[in-house]
Amino acid sequence: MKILLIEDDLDLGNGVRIALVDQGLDVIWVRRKEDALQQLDACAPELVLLDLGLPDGDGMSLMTCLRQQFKGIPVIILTARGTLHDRLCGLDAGADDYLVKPFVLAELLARVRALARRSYGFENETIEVRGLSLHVPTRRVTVRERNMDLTASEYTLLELLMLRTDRVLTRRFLEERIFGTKDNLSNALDVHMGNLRRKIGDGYVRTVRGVGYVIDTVPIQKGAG
Amino acid sequence: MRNFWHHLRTPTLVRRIMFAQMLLLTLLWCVFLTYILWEDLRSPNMLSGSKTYETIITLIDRMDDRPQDRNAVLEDFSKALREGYGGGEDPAISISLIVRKNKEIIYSSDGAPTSVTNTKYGEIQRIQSEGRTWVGRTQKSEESDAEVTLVTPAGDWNLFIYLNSRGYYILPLLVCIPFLLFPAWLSIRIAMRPWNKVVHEVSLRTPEDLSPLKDGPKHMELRQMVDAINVFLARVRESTERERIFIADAAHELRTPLAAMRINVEALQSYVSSDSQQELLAGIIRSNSRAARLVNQLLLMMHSEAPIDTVVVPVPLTTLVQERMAALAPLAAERRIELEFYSHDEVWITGIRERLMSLIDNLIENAVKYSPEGGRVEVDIRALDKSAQLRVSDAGPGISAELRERVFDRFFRDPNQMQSGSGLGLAIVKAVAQQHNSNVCLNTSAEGGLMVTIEFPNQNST
Repeated sequence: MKILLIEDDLDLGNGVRIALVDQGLDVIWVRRKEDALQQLDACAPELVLLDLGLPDGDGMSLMTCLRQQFKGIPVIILTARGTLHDRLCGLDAGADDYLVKPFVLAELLARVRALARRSYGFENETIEVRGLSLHVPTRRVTVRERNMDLTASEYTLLELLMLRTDRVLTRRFLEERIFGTKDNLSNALDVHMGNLRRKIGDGYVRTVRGVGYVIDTVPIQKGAG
Repeated sequence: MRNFWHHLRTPTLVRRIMFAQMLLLTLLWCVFLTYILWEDLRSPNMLSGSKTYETIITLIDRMDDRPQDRNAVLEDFSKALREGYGGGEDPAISISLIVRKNKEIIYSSDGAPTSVTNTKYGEIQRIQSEGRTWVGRTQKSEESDAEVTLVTPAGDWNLFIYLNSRGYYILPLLVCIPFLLFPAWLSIRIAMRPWNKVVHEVSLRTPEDLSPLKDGPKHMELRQMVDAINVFLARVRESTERERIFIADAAHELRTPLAAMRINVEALQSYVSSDSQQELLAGIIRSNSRAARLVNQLLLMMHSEAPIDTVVVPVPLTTLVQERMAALAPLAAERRIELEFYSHDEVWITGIRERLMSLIDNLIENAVKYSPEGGRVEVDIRALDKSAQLRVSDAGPGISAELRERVFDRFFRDPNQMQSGSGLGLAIVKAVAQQHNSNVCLNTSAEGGLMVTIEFPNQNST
């Protein structure tokens, strides 16, 4: 996978380049806006990592340019500016993701992979967590090779959680996605979740009480105390 | 008693104004009085008037044939004059009547300076006689050759007689002053009210509040003072703002090198096989994380201290807390800490979403950080009558009562605490809470840890 890295800081650019190359990714690193535009034409990257603070022009203008001329290429913004306002500006300009410096390598890699997955669809995509697997195109769910028969709501619930493993999804978020409403008048979510758990077995979905649900890739042992 | 004296001896403006008023009043009164007395002494009323003369002349002319009766009446008249003059029977300090006929004295008051004679009729003259100065005026009858002379002493000591007889000149002032004191004091107090209002407003200021003084008084003197204060406040505001922006910029600039350091070390980790080398790299990463966190906290601190320039809007507190807890769940999972959130209906408060986010994040991060592994962090929101209450409790070591005030100071760290931290977390919480007119209260939780309670005023009641 070809990645165009636009970053003016020497140490950071080089570090990111080496780290990504180590992961088997093909990285083209440029430090100026002009070079970036040239590389976009010449190399047709599949993903762009863009630093907003470039010396020869605002990264944001490059962002706009990218969105106008290279619509399909996903862009992750790397920036030192991390307020909500800055984030919204970046996302409004058409960035697909936003990473605030200093970031952790694992986070960067996760975002890169997620974006790659998103932009190339879920063909042949199977998500698997500890024996529980979900095949997105066919909506087939298996637990240890055994087929599960889920209702539409249960499947949606599971898919939402599986696509965002290790991230807690709030009750509100889930309710909106499943019932399309903001009112949580009933405990319908709890009922669906109860059914889902009974079918796939305990130990997959963890409850964060009052907050929401999460599927951990590595199970968390309950508190020793 | 001592306080009373101290109070009395402390100069006050009210007293100063009153003293000045009274002093000026007395002075003016004295000048006025002196003028009147001086005028009076120069030409005494009794001498300048014509009625007294006319009466005596008529009396002499009509009673010319009865000298005995005439002299008796003149004697009585002289006494009446002396009584009216106020000098008593002593001719040296009182008025005297001398009646002449054909230049011969036919009557003179008891002890009158008979040698005093006017050179002109009808004019008040100063005459030296018997070693003294007199003031006299002689009037001649138009029908006969009778002459009437009234003589008063003109010495300086005469003033005292005047003061004695003209008591009504000075008396009003003596009577007035005590009666003037109270109205003067009261009116000054009332007039000083705008001044007191300004003093009150200034005294209510918190150190953080550098906004200009509101509703400036209309009075010119006060306006000048308030304007001067406002100019000063603006200057202080500007300099703190500059300082704030400088710190924020510096923190921003630190982010890129920190990111570079981190990514380089992380890339290096995959090349290193030896355990001790891995450990050293992990040390660098830990330090890097701490520095990154400090930079983030500094930025948050600077953002949360910024004057509120955005509009405050209703914020769904319950949803916001839920979202932040979901976002921070991985942090809790890392330390096997269970997050629990208790709430009923959505609670709305007015505020700035982003700052509230940093408040919630800091509270929960703190609770997670100080909880023992496998512990529990409880967050709950309750809607009270007039406020919404957000409580975060942990099972950590808590904060001893004597340190509870100080932990809100920037960079203050509990000396008993082994966990690393920026020392800014609670300072940020406090700053944001203050901007939302809310109180931060530290207590001991049910599990013996720390319970932080924040009370937001209700949207309806603000």
